[in-house]
Amino acid sequence: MWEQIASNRRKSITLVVFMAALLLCLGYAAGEILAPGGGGLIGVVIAFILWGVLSLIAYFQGDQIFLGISRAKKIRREDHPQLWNVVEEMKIASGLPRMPDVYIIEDPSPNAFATGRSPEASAVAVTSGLLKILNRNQLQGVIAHEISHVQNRDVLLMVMIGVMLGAIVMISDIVVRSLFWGGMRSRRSSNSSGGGQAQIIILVVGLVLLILAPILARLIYFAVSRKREYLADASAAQYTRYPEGLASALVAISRPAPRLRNANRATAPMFIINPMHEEGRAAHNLSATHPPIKERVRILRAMNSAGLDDYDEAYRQVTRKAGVIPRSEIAGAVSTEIQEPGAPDTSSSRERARLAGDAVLTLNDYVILPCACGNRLKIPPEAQFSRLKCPTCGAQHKVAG
Amino acid sequence: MECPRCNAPMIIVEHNHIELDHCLSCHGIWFDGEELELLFSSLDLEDVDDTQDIMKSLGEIMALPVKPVEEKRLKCPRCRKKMEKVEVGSDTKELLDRCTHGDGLWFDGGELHRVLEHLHEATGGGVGQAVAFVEEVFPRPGGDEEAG
Repeated sequence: MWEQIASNRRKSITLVVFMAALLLCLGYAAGEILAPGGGGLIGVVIAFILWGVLSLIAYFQGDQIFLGISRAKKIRREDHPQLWNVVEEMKIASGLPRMPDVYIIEDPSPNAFATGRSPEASAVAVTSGLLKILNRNQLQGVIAHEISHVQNRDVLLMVMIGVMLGAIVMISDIVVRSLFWGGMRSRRSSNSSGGGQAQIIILVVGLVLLILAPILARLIYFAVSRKREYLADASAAQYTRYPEGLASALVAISRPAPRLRNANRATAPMFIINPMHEEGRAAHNLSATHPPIKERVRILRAMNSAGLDDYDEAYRQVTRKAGVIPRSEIAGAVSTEIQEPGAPDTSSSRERARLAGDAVLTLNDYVILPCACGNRLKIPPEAQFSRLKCPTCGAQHKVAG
Repeated sequence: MECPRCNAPMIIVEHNHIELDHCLSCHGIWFDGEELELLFSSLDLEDVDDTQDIMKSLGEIMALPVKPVEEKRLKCPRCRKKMEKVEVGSDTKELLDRCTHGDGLWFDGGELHRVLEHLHEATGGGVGQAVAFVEEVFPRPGGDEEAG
């Protein structure tokens, strides 16, 4: 088992080192372009500091910032017992050492993500839209997918690579802008005061790097991201022993839905489906953070039993490519039979909508009064009145506080 | 959510698992887009993919003709953008406020029951269903609604 972790870690470290080298080279080039003859070293130092600061922030505060941007609200068991139970089950199935914090985001678009720097300190967040459209088995598939991101340490890897991508984009952006806004003039004057051939070559190489680095970094980022998605799907099938749960959840999620209002490009790779794309993630191209949903569904539905090796086989069968699950993962995994879940979930979409909605309202300090006629009256904390009449049956209610 | 007419916080009335936002000061009613969607989705369990029916009914609401009026336009309680007045009903036209982004419909409180009565007679389909639901939750009162 330790071997697997070490092997995964080696691959991740290789990637991180490559991106870091790219970043420092870019720093050097940026320095030389903006201040020819000696600026390169300063550029490297600035790039290093920028990377360090961003990494530290991302490592210690990243999850909080991310949850904050998404306006996620932390829940307790009683706020949404079903969600809590599902997370608890998947925590046990995955062997996660600590129960992740559970968050709900008030948003009609169905989506979910996991965050946290280690399996000991993690969180899963789902939107109220997700809770509304998925039944229990589907929800379990999605949560299993997210928890396996935590268990596989994808979150930390993606955040670290994401930070470097961010730094690379930032540096080349700054240089391009300053060249555009007058850097050219100062460079010409310094050139005339004695530059030399070497200087010009460095500048040209630097400019090429300036353009290529962000693209290269993005491609690495996307490629890693897609690979981790397949692995998370495979692990989800293994944890739940029911690939159809996640498969049908993906189908339900990819139906046309309102766009995620709080999503932006930087946080897109963290979600279970890409919120920036309008429709079904159609093209499997190089710049997609997630594999196309249709393909993910077909692979899950082609599985004969619920182990990682079965997923790998299904993947090869569907895509006609080499396997996608790292050998080291498969070697240690046990093959498990697919198990139909016990009792079917018979809740209607309306009931689920209310469970999810009420959880959000309770988190926002609403008071919920049930009326004898079946209505439920929900009163915002700002409301200033002590009595309330049910509009349907006319019964009087006292409002506490 | 705040009332688009008087900015007071609205209470939520849940009836048959569907929520309406209600202002206790001006008696107006906000029918949220998401709730309309739930209303139009059948109560049947799973499997039934009734997306098309829902879209058709929602489409009917979005297709209501806009009427340009002098009156001050109210702001959508969700997106805060100005709503538009739309005409409902065949013979006696009544005006409702509709969010331009489809966030929901606003039924003004002042003439609620007169409006509802006309609409109830004159419309079918998605619009009629929505109106019938509002009428069901807010039946014509024997006495006045009150907030203590």
